[in-house]
Amino acid sequence: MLMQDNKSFVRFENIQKTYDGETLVIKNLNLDIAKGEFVTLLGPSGSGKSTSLMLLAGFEQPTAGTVYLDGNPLNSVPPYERNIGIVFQNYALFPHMTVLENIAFPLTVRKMGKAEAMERAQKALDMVRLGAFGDRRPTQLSGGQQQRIAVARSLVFDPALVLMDEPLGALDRKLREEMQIEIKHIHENLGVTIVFVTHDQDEALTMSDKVAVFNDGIIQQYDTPATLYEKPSNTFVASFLGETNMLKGSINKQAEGKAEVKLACGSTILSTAVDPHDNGDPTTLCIRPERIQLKEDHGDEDNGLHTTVVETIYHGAFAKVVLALNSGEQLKALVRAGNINADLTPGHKILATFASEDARALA
Amino acid sequence: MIKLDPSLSKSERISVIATWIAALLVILFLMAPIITIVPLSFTSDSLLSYPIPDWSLRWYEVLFGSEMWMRALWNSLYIAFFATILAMILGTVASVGLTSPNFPFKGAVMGLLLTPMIVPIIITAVASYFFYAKLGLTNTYLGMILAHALLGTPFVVITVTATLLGFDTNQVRAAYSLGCKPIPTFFKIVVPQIQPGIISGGLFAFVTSFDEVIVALFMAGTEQFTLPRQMFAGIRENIDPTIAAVATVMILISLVLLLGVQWVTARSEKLRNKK
Repeated sequence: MLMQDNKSFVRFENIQKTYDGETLVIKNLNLDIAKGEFVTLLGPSGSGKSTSLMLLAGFEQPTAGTVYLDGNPLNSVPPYERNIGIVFQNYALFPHMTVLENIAFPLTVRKMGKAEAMERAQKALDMVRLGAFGDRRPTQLSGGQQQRIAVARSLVFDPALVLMDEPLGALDRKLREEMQIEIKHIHENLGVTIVFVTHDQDEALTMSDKVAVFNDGIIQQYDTPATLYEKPSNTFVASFLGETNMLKGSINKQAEGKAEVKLACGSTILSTAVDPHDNGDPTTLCIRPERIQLKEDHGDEDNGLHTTVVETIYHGAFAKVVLALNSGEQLKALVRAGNINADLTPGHKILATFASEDARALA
Repeated sequence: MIKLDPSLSKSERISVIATWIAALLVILFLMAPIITIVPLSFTSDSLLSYPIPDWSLRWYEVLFGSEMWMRALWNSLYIAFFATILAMILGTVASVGLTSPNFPFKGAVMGLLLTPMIVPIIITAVASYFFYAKLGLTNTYLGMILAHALLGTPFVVITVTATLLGFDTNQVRAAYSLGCKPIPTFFKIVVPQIQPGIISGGLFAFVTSFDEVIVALFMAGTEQFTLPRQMFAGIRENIDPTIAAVATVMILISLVLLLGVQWVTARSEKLRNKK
């Protein structure tokens, strides 16, 4: 066996994929997933995330490059020999079999004795808290129950890896949140490697050890959820994950990872330099709304933006404040209830401040 | 007979009654041949004509006692059975191919497969005769079975394609991911779910072969005479009410089979609605 470095259990190496021979759905994919990790491929539809999953499952072949599992190239291995469990968005349970027969299917296919197969299937069914439903038909169960059965079926044969293709997309919000926690617990208890595809950023942030953000067939950033959210490396990641303020400006001067940015509204802001810039280069300053503090404007503070309140939207635990800069750009701020120490009536002058670490100057 | 909804206006009542009368007339029109022939099979007279002097089962006795008619019945069932099996296999395989997403020239191939239904049977019969004659298949059971399978296959293609359209192909992918190879997946996952389509297509194929006379006229030697072919021969030689008894038996068999189709489709409809 060819040994990759220890960290890489699944490896995409220089993968390209095109369906029509012209447009590359995946442009150049390099991704390493460690054993036992929960990795999410996140991106808008058509970004290449689902195609990447299908390449790993073996239902599609890469146009160029190699996919490795545990150090072995997978390209010529058919899907039924990959030992990879898959959970589909539409569950893909077999309607002509009972719930227990569905779960026992991968075991009976592997020629396991009937008694042992049924016993293990029952254990897997208990794990997803549906132990009493073994004799039902899948179609007699709710969507959430069906998806739990699909999860049990994908795990019962101890696969090397489990792929989940938008598994919670068909469920309503409350059920989805329950299932997120349930899948997370299963992952923690079994230690199985999971590759999860979703277009829902909340889902990606709450469930994953690491998230690969896809756009346009390219991984934009591959990091832990906290790093992705707090330190997005480009404007796509910043805007796709959560809400963000993006202000246009140009670099005045920079040193030691800090950049002084002259904004269109006239203010000069000290920020964190993310991409290499030359002085005078255009830049986009990204600031999360919850990192902004609002004060009465006395016209003398550093690192502040002079704004006018446009409107305040009350949300109970917090308030969302829309502010106008004199460049015409808008700034959104989230203020916690009990932390409002300024007059937020529309038309009032307000100073918006933030730490230089929270303002990131991106290309 | 029918209770009309008292809330209906006068003109609505008239239209409801008119609809019923029209429907009954159409049913009468469709049933007329059956209504005519069935009572004749129970006549005590030796003439195939009305009025019927007295009721009797003598023509059924003649029918079931006749070696010739029994051989024809056996031939019909034998040929229809194997033609149906063949049509079910060919039609199912064709449908699976035609519904796979990357099959080229789908429309053209589908049209070609359905031609036996569209082309006048006499053309198919003549063509089969000349082609099979060269292969030495005329006047053989195999020739009859092949020719009838050809007529039955389009029915299976249509019904199986219809059931496959509702089939979720992710199930095939799921089966692969669970370690099941393509051919076992076809038999364990696909076939059980398209079974209603295969069976109802098969029943249509069976009835088609069972009722068919034109191909039999060209292809069958006296050894292979089927019921319709034997009737055809009988009508030209001597007409007696045995013909009516044969016809009644055939109507009965076809009826049972068509009720079978109804039952299978109703059942699969029910399964589908459960989803």
